[in-house]
Amino acid sequence: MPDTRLDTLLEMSQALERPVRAGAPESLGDSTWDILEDAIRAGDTANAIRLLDYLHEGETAPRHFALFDWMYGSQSYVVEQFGAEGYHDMFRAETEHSQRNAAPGVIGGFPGALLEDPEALTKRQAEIMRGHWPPRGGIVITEEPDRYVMNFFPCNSGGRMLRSGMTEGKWSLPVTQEGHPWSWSSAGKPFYCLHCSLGRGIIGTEQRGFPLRVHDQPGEGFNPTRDHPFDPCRMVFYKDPNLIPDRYFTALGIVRQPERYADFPTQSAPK
Amino acid sequence: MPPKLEWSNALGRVTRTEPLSEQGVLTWDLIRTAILEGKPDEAIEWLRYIKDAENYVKPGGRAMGAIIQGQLAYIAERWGEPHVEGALRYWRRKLIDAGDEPTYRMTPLERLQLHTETERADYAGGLEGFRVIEEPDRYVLEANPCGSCLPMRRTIEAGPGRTSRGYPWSWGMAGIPYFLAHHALWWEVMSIEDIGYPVRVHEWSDDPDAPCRIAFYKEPALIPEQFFTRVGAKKDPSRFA
Repeated sequence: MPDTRLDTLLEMSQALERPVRAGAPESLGDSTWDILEDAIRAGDTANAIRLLDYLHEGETAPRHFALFDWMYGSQSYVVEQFGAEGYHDMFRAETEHSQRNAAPGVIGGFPGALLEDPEALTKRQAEIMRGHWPPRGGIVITEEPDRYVMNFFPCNSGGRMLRSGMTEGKWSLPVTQEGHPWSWSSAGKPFYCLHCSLGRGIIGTEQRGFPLRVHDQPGEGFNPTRDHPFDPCRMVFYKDPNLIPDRYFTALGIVRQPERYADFPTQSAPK
Repeated sequence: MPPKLEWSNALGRVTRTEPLSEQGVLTWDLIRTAILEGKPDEAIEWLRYIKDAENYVKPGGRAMGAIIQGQLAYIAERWGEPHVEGALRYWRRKLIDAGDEPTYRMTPLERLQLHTETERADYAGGLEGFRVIEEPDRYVLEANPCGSCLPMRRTIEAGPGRTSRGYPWSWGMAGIPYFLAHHALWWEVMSIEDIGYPVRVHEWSDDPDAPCRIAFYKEPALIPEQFFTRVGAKKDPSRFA
């Protein structure tokens, strides 16, 4: 039975400037998830809340952010050494590798059954975005007659990187210097963010005829850039691909081909 | 309609199914509310949903390490294996220079606490096969599997994605998956370059089914010479006097 006394479990770390699991070294392998369950079952409210906040902001969030930041780091090395096209080629190769290993019907990690149901697809995207450990109140979703709109304050994936200064100062990780179709034809976007334009936009369209979701133009208020790092980010899921405005295709350099999505289920048409 | 969990055939697991207008509520807050309202079963149900579904870094998925492994394999295949070292060095140096990597300025016990935290975050050992052992001269972290790397070692076949020959940043061995090599480069090679000794060392086993063992020596002077020489370095006590 793990020791659930938090006076021995959590200790302020001067090096990390936050609490960390301390206590006997042999106890450090005990699962925080299990210790928290024990505290909840015991009705130990104060310690359960304290341990919950540690699990969220101390144990899981830093690891999550570190791995995503590292992805941007590898992309940055490629851009600095081999140019922006090197990033593009690497991302495409990664995507093709993933797609080869994916179950039938899956596109961009989304099962086929979700791809045909914009509301279900939006809910899955909400789950994904909650999984980026955003701040409380950071995700606001609205429904309009023709679409579902997800607003992020910030997007805690690429938007977090921009807000935390990773394109400035000692980090100075690269952003696009010019517009490419795979960067919404815009400069100033962190390369990490381009999985939305290249992956969900262009490659998604190549696979099913229209983007998995669409995004506003960078720098126009709902797609942050290096010059506007505190802008929120917005994802839009149209209920019917025929309702997607042409500008979203044009920004990605895509020639719209309605015949490619003529068979898209119509039960999600505007209510 | 309050948040709720229901089975999804598309996802093969439970997921939150309340209306979209409620989907922005953090599951962490749902746990907090359930605890405060004295609903332990509900709190635990939300907690397990985060652990098994919402959290990106979780058993079975390990998507993040695999994506980075894929990036490094592409870099090696297209631009040559030395650029794997280049990419790993680039990122580690960024972390250090930006002040985002505290390991060097920690005591060995603090390092153990931080690195076991990372392993717990990676669900090391499936949380069952993970333990920490204190020995007279060091702390040993034993994970079966290591949450980040060992599943990769057990599943990536020889060939692309592994070192083609021995480098100091692969413990002098061929066949090391590139993602795993960051341990040799970051915690041993670069640590020796920066502060004179490896902040942690990895006991490599040729048996991929063996547990991963990571040692944090209580004093740099106690680190055996072999952990310097295998990464092409020489133990120089004057550097950590």
